[in-house]
Amino acid sequence: MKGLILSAVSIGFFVTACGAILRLYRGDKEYRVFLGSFGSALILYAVLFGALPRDLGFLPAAVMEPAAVVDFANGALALAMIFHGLWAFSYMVWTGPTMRLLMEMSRHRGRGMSEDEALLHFRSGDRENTLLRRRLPKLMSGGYLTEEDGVYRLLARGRAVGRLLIRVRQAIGDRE
Amino acid sequence: MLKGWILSSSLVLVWAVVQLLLLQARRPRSALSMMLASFSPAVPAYVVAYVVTPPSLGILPPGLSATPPLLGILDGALILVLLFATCVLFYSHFHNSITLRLLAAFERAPRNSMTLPQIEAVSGLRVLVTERLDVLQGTRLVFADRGRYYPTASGRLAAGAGRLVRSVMKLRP
Repeated sequence: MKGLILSAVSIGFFVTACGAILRLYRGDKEYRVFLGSFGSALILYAVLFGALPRDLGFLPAAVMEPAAVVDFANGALALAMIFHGLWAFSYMVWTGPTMRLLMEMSRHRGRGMSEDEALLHFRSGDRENTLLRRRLPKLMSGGYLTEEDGVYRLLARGRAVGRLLIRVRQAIGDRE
Repeated sequence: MLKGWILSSSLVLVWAVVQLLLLQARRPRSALSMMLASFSPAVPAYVVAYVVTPPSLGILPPGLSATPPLLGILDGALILVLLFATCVLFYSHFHNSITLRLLAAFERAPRNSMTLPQIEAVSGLRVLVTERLDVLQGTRLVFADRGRYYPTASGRLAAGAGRLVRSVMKLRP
């Protein structure tokens, strides 16, 4: 139980640190802020676990794990899975069209939203697709894709990932 | 706690195999609803398995099998739910990610090349928005009425959670 309580404290630290840094951060590699904050939370967890007593000064014997190493690993595992959930949900809210549509609909819930209005939500200018505008440059800067005379071409790194993705997507039942 | 880990991870492994077979065999409108339905028996199955099996499961040494029963059962249930949520999120990454879909589309394209209009044809706005509205309906987060889409109560709740995360993390759209 000590591990779980300290992992909850560390998650609180992660959310606070990540939120504070993202308010100041002006770059476009936000994932580094998430990973850096998680790394710091993990260090905080390990330090607190080593420094505090087994019962944290208030836990009854009925909720204490006798094996300290198991308690530590249990808390670290919970911390990692909760971090992954928060990270994934943050990105869904931030860049994912599904959550963005849902939040926009919820803002005008009495009026609802037609499919054409939903499309407008992802366009800027005349016909520009903001979903692609965000992703294509990231794929190019990551070394997955290159562009020449309006033709985008997959690089070796992109081909390796693309092949793997096709296999994974087939395994999860995607038929394309 | 190790007993709870072993039982919950074994159950999630069995569930994941069954779920992959189901996803291969059917094409559900909402994979999330299907996953929740197929996972729901795992929670009572875990509790029963925890109660009827010995503390050591016949393999754990005494030092690792002395967890108080209440702590062991609750911790294992928490790990079970977290493992399930992690699997669902991994499915979501691979199924929904536009970036990953683009890479897969390029890999399939002749000479691994596409122009912007060709990219629009496989991952264009109309394709994506239609698909996402269908997913939102399938998960009962929105409903359609005379060509317009409205959030359900659970959709408003999810949107509220989204707004909370956006305001805490200050993620600029």
